[in-house]
Amino acid sequence: MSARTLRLAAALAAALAATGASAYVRTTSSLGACFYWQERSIPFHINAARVASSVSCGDPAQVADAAAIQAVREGFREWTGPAVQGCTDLQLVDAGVSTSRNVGYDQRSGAQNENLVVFRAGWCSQVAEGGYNDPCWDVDPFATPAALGETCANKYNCFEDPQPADRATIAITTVTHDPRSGRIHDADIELSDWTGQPGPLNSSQPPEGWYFTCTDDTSTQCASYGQDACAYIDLQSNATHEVGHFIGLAHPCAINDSDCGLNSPYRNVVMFPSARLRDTSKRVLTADDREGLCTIYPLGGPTSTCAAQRKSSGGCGSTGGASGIISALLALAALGRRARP
Amino acid sequence: MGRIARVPRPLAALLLASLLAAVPRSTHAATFLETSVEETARTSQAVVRGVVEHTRSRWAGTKIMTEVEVRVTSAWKGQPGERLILLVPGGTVGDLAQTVDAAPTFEEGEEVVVFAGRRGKRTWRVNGLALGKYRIEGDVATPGTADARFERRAIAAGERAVGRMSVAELEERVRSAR
Repeated sequence: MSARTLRLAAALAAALAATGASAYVRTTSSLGACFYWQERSIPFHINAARVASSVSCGDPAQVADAAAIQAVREGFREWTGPAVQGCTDLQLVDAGVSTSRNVGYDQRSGAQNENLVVFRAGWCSQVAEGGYNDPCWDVDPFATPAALGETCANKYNCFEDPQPADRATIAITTVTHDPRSGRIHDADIELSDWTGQPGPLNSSQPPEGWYFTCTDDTSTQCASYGQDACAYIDLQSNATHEVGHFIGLAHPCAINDSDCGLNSPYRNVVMFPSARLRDTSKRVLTADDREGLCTIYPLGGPTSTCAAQRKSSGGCGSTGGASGIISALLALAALGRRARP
Repeated sequence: MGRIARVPRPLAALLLASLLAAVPRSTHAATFLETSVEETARTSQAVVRGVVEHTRSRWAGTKIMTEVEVRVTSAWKGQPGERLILLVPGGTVGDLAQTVDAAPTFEEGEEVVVFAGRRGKRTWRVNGLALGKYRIEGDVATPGTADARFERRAIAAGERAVGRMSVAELEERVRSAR
C-alpha cells in the first residue's frame, strides 16, 4: 500500500469515526447554548394517576398501576444505574408520587416547581364534556394565572389536541431554561395515555389515546385497546428516551438526513429518533448514550457547558462534537500532506 | 505559498459529515407516530404558504406561549384570509425560555407552509404541532419534525410520510388530498 493510499485511508477513518464512534449530540437553546442541569442531584416526581392500563402495565392486585410507574422509574434509573456509576455522579432522584398536573414553570418567588411525569388520559377533544365546543378551548391563557386552571389539559387531565393531527403525538417534554447559558430550571414529561375505552388500534389518530404496554414478550402486536398478551408502544423504552432529553441529550441525527435511515450507524442508541412499535431495545443505554451522559456530567468533574453563540469555542467544549472536530482536523491534516508538492 | 488541494468529492462529503457531527443541534424531542402529508392535509381547515411577519412570546401562567402572525401568499386549502394569527407553545421571555419539544418554531421573515385549524374564538393552531409546519428554502420544503422521534408504521398506498420534499410536490399532495 502506498503512502498516499495510507493517508487517504487515515482521512476516511477519521471522518467515519466522527459520525460513528461519538454519535451523541447535545440539545441547545435557540441561542446555541448547550442544555445542562447545574445540580448533580435532580429530583423528579411522577403523578401516578392513570385512568386505565394495559394488563402488562397494571398491578396484578389492581391496587395501582405499579408496573407503569415502575417502567417510568426504570427509565430514569437507566441513566444513573450501575452501568454508568463509574463515570458520572449525576443522580436522578425519585422524589415520590405527586398529585400535581401543572406542566411548566412557576416563576414566582418561593414557588415549588416539580420535574413532573404525568399521564394524560385521552384527548381533550374526546374527554372534555363539550368536545371541541367545550368552553375550555376558549380560555385566554394570557388573561390571568387562574385561567390556566381552566384550560382543557388542567381541567380534564387530558392531552390537548386543538387540531386532529395532534393525536400523532405520543410523548412531549417541556423544558424551561436560560437561553444564554443553557441551564435547565425545570423539565416535565407528558404521556398521551389511554382513556380505558375499547376500540381498534389501526389508526394514526387513535381516538382513545395511546396504548402503552410493559411486557418483555413482543411477539404479538396489539390490535385493539385492552388486548392482553401483546405489545404496542413500550412505555419503558419511551421513558428512557425522554429522560435522555431530560438530562440534555438530543438525537444523534435528524430523520431527513442521509445518515439517519435504515442503515444508520446510530440506529441502536437510545437517543436514535426512530423506533418501531413493540421496540423494547431502547430500554438499555448503549456506549454512545453513556458517553454523552458522562461527558456532560463527569464523575468528580465540572459539568460541560457551552455559552450561546461563542464563536471562539465552536460549540460544546467536550462533547461528541469535539471528537468530530478532531476527526475532521485529522482528515484535513492527511489531505494537507497529500497536497504538498 | 503552498498549493490548495482539490478534494475528491467522496472525501469532501465525509469531511462535511465530520464537521456537522461537531455542531450541537437544537432539537424537538417529542415522539410521534409516523403520518402522511395527505392525512395532515385532510384534517386541516386551511393549508397556506406565507411569510412570518411577527412573533410575540408571553407568559401564560406557568407556560410561555407565542403568537405568530403569518402573511398568506397562497392558500392551498380553505379560505383563511390574508393573515393567520397562530398560537404555539414555547418561546422566550427575558431570561427564561421554554421549549415544548413537539411544537413548531417560527422566525420573523421565514417562508413557511402551515397546516392549520381554528380553535377558540380568535386564533389558529398548527395541526399536528411540528408535523404541520414546513420551512421553505428555495424549492425545498423541510418540516419542523427534523429532530422529532417517530414510531414507524405503514403509510397508505400512494401517500408520503411527512418529510423533506420539493415545494411543488408538497403543494400537489396537499391539493390532491381527499
